[in-house]
Amino acid sequence: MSGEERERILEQIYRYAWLLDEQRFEEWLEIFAEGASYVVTTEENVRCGYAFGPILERKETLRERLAERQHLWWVDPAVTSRSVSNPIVEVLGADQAQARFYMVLYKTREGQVTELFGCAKCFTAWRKIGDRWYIQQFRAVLDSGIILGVLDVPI
Amino acid sequence: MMEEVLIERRIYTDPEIFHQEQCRIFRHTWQYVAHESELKEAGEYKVVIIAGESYLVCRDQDGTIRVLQNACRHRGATLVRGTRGRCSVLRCPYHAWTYDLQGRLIGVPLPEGYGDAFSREDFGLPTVRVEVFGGLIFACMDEKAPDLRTYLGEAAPYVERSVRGLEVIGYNKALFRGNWKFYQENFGDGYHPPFLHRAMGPAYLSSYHVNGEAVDLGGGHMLLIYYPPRPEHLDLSKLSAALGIPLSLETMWTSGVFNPYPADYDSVLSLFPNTIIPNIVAVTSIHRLIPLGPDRTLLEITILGDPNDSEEYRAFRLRQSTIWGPGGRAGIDDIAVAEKCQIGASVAGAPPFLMARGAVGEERGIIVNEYTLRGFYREWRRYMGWSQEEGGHVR
Repeated sequence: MSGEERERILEQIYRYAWLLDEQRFEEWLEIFAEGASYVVTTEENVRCGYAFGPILERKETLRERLAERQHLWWVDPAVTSRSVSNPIVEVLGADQAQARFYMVLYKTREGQVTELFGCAKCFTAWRKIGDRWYIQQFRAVLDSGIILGVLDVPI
Repeated sequence: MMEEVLIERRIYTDPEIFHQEQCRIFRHTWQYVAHESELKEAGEYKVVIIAGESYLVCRDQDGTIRVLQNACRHRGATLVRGTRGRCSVLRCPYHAWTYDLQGRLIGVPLPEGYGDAFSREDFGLPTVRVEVFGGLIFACMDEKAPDLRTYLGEAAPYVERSVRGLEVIGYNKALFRGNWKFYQENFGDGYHPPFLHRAMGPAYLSSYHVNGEAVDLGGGHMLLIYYPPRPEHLDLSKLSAALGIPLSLETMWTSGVFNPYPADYDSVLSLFPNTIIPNIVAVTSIHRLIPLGPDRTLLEITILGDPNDSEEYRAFRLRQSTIWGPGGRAGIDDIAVAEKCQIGASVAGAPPFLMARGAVGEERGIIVNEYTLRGFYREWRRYMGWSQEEGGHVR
């Protein structure tokens, strides 16, 4: 049973990456449970024991940010691609699980060459509602404390 | 045009001018390098770049903060691991030359090989001047420069108001493809927010811009003062329509756009040449620009908090502090536009930029002014030793 659940969570993780790559943000948001937290921080902040991160959102405020994104017309269009690896999924009960995985993010600004934009260790807590798993907590820790340009798309 | 101010594009792109800035500005001005709370214990250190060179800011065994050159006198190897840490001595990894935290050379393996004339006293680490103001540590490489309080001049009370009693609670850094001056200018420019930061809410911002002042503090220091709107003045229906989503006052608070903890006024203080202290919507941060090349800048943002923050207020402060930097509601715009300006500045032979808003009268004025920027460039020109005819025309 837990093997099946692990597979379903893994599929959600890969779906997470594809939906962001394809900029299907509304569908991506639906992977999150209501009230879910979404945090992107850096290894430097973690090492120093600081709770700060460049992005500290909840599902509801993420929705607002994605709406605001429509106004960022001066941020040049870019293709972003995510590669997920090393996933470890632990099913903790009938409706709880946690998963960690590594995310590599590439960014290709229009007319430019592809750049390695960031690498992050992602820690997620999941909740099963009905027959579907949702992210309750998402926390990405970027290996580098220095972000190349702007972080205008979710990790 | 009698009152015009023209800025030549090459000051943002020319490698020779960039080199001159390092020598003539960054080696002669007071540079913010760290916050006292980052060096609480004896032996704690942080690596910083000043005028393109590596330095260690550290607290010595007596509790004194020092800034030492991070390069062994023997072969120049850097002396510490990573960018921050704690140590009792500085030992070079190469040949184990060892320095105390005051920079004195205290150990040389096999010293007899240097002969009798060798004296350790002659080979200490070069140090630079250090002063602390409001918890902020500043360093200056110029022995003849005025003391820090004199250097800050009219900016000093605003520094104190912004940072008094605070400590570091986070870092936010970006590497952008733009000249450092574009970002510095941006924070003395009260003209751009309603246009560039449209995503943050035109209603909010438009109510802001008519309630503020731009102040040239002298010495190249700039101040923007904002008088925040009261909730009753906030047109949420206009903002909701602009964003296409319904917004309540509560949402405005949680999204950090509106301040539930209003102060008398908000401010953005820019210290010449490369430090910015925004104190907006109840949170404070320090932006330090580290020029890496004419078109490459490292932006280091240090987030400050009050050790006595309530849990609720700390959560608000952290959330709102994300407004700046590479992922920030305003920060994305500020960085992106610096990169765009850099591309425009690179057009060889193109006419100079115009920085003439409000030039008539040159008085402390409304916030949609470029009066502060002219003050910045007067000081820039003075340090660079440029005449009015060189690189542009400053009235």
